[in-house]
Amino acid sequence: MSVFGLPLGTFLALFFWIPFWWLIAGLSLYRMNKHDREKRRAGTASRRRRSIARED
Amino acid sequence: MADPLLIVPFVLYLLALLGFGFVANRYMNSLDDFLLGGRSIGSGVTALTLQATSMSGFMFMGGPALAFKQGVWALWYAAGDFGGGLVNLGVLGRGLRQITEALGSLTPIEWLEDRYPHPSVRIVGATIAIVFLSAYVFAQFIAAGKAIEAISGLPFLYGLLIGAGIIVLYTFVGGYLAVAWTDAFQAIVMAVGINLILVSGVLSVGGITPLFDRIAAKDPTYLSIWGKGLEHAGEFGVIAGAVLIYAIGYMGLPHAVVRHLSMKDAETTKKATVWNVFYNTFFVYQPYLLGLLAIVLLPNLGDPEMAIPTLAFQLLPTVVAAIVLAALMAAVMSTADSLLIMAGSILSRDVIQRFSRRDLADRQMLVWSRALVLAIGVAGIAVAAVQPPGIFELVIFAFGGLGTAFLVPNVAGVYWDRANWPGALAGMVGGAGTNIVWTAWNLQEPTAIHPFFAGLVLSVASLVVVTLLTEPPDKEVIAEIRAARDAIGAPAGTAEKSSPSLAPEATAIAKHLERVSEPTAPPTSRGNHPTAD
Repeated sequence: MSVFGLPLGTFLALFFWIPFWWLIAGLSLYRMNKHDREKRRAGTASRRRRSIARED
Repeated sequence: MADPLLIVPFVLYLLALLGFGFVANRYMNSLDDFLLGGRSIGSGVTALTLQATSMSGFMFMGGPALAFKQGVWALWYAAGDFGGGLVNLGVLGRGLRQITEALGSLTPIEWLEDRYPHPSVRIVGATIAIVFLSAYVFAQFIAAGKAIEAISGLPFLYGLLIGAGIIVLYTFVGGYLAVAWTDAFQAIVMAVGINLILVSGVLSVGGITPLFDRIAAKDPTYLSIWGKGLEHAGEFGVIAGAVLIYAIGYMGLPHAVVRHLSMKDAETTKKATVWNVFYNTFFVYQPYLLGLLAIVLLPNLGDPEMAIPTLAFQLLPTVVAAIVLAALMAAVMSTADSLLIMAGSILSRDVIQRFSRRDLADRQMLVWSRALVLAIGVAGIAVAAVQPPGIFELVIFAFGGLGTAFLVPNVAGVYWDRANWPGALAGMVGGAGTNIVWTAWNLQEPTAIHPFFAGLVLSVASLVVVTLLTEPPDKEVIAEIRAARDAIGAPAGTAEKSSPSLAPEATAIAKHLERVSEPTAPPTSRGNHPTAD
């Protein structure tokens, strides 16, 4: 079986990298956003605790 | 003399580059502006300058030549290169942006000493960087001169003076901002040029399938993943090296790593990763495919490195061919300017100011930096004109030497708190040394292991073993790194305060970050600088 005149195995070995790197880019973006969300959430909780402590 | 239809667009292109330099000059007020564009570069420009800088004239000459000689095997390099910018941004981008601002590091070598506090780290790092970056500059200048010679018919010396002279001039005048802007512009020119010629070439052979059918008819092993004549059959170490050299090698190149330091903020990394992959979709595989096209269309090509210019003249109208040739120049110039400003920055900041003139004010350092860029540029033109014996041998070691010297210390510096200065030093020397020995003695042949892969393994091993055998790093330094790395953004005003980047101020800022045990305010916006995106 061939794709664009290249054997399937060769085509996959050399060109699957294109969707692979796009997938990695998506995962990186997801991971960075998740990290930022968690940090912000942790920061909000920490400020709330300090605020409650001051009121007490 | 060549066709005016070819010359006029080309001259306009060179003038546009100079224009970027003079516009950038209007925004320059400090050393920080000259060396890092005021840390104001946005995501689009970061993505494009990173890629254009990383991929030199090799993409227009060496890459197609490799495909012409080896067939689809050459695409292993494209496979890794496609993800090179993404890996660089994803692994180092955010961490380095935040940490270097907190520590006040203005160059990739300064960052290494700030992370691994010992003068020997800076001495060894600066020496390796300056030697290889300078050799790289000379090679790119020679390539620029030859490209203009081929296009205009002018003697090589005039071509060199025009090509290299323009690079030196806009870098001297506009500093890093000019380099980043011209790189982004040139990245677009490169992508347009390469796709124009690829589309017309593929159409001329009747499509992609007929192209591969005709290549197979010449020799079926052109379509083997093991190379023409199955030359690399079973050599997994060579293939791993071919993929890794560009997939991760860029993380060791000082002139690529400095792109992280110059980003507007850590947030910029997110969009830049997507822009980078988007751009690579239209650029990275294409030069190699043109090499394959040349097997069919230019079977008697004498110099495979001239595959793209020859195809351009054969397939395209003269005015369009001028764009392709401008793209070729763009590939050379976008790397040369980055190398030039990096070499000048390291020499001024990491050598002159660090070891000789510590009392220099920001303003004086700006003068020094500019003067050194000019001096290296003029020396580069002189060396390129003479082409002394041995210069090309030095260039062969440059990419691998830089990559394997700094990659592991850079990554360990961000992610492995235990890494210390003796380990970093061992990693630098072990990596670069192995790469040089492997290349010089051609150890790839008997071992079937790529020099980059060998250098990388030795660099990791040296750094880990020596680190574990020696004292852990100072806790204070690690606390500073950790706090900067884990913060979402630097506290308000950090960027402005650290701009002068003198050590005491940077330390004060880092200590402030350390005290901040919770996420801090959103990244600061830099009102006094243009956003280059």
